[in-house]
Amino acid sequence: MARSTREGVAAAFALCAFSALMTAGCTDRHESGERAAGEHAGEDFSVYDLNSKWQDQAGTARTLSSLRGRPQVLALIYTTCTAICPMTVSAMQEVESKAGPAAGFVLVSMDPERDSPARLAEYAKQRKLSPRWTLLSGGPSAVRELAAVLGVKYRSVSPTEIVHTSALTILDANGRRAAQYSETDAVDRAVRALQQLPR
Amino acid sequence: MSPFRPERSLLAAALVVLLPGVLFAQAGMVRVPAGAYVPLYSNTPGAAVGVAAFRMDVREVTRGDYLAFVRAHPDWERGHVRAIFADAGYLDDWRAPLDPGEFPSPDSPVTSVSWFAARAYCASKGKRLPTVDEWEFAASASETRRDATRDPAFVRRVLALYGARAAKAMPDRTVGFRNVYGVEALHGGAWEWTEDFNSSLVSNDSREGGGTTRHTDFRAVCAGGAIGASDPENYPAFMRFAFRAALNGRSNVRSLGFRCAAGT
Repeated sequence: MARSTREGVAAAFALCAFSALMTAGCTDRHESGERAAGEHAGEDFSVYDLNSKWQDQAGTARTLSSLRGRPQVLALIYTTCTAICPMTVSAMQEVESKAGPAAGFVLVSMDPERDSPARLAEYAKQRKLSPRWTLLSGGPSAVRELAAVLGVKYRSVSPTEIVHTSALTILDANGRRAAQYSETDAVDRAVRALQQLPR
Repeated sequence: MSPFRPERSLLAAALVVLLPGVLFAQAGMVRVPAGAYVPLYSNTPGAAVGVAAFRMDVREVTRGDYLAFVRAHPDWERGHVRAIFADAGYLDDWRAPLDPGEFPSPDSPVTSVSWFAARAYCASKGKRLPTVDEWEFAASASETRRDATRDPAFVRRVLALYGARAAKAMPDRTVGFRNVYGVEALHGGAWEWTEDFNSSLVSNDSREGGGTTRHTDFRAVCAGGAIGASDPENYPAFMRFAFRAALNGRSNVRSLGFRCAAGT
């Protein structure tokens, strides 16, 4: 991992220097946003080692490790988002209908100030989310940490809008990242990744 | 009963107001007054973002400082640190878990520390990491001006400092200059962590499904260099954004250190 970070940084400069010189747009931004299932296998850390404090849509205090025990499909969203979040949630619902009952589904709010547990409960109702869904609200620091581990980037650009990368992350039963997809059309790949995980 | 002495109250009030400033100055921080700056990338290119007054460490955290932290917090020793908080490169240039080695000197900036580690260090001092906005705002200043980013000579000088940094195996905190706020070597020592390093996105493209994998991000940032940047001349800022985009919270890089900040 250490080496790949350094090479990654070097590659960033190489790529950027190249494109700056050529003033060529890097037009293939949407290409290959997928991480193959199993690519993260062997990661030696669990997201559940983060000891941040959260509340779910019922107002119950939660830790991330309370999600342990079955695979989880997780995404960071915010409930007033009208751009990509609704598609992310729809994609997760499709994964749920295709993958069967073995997995859980987690939505983490990037806008904890607005997304209180009550607001999350309302959202769950609106979107007809099943009882297998956990919606989490935590402090700004907790959200920043989780995003830093998952490689999700976000930034408030106005009082009502957060720009962010979209990612569907599949965690195994112990919170290790099994796969991650950046496109909302990754439903079938996500379903296959889930089916390959030990139950 | 002594009569009310307004001058005494004033004196007391002045002490209450001034004393913390003196104490903080002793703790190696300076106050950066409120202002505004134009971020390299934003949803409304060219629009200034307000930055509230804050305090910033004059210098980067050194290897000596970090050794003291690790001694007091064994959870952050190399070999003990939890994998979620740092990848395998954590402090890997130290001779031993409690020995940074003789070269570079204990006064050099500590590097090969993850974002989680940098945050934990700052928290242990009652501080925090600066935000990207705070860091960029402070780093816009030269020795004499609060915003020198439109000065071609300043931009060239910063680029030269980054070039010198890239040529060295290890950063040296004595390289660089003390800016108008009294903050030293923001451009000269190491690259520096920020609290929201993972907020660098290319304007609003990312809402439309920009990738989250590293390579995808590089391309997004690169494309933004041509399209979305508010000031294409500010190449040093572009380099910093590209650098941050390549990181995650567990990353350890030999040219990446940090300094802490705090509210006023």
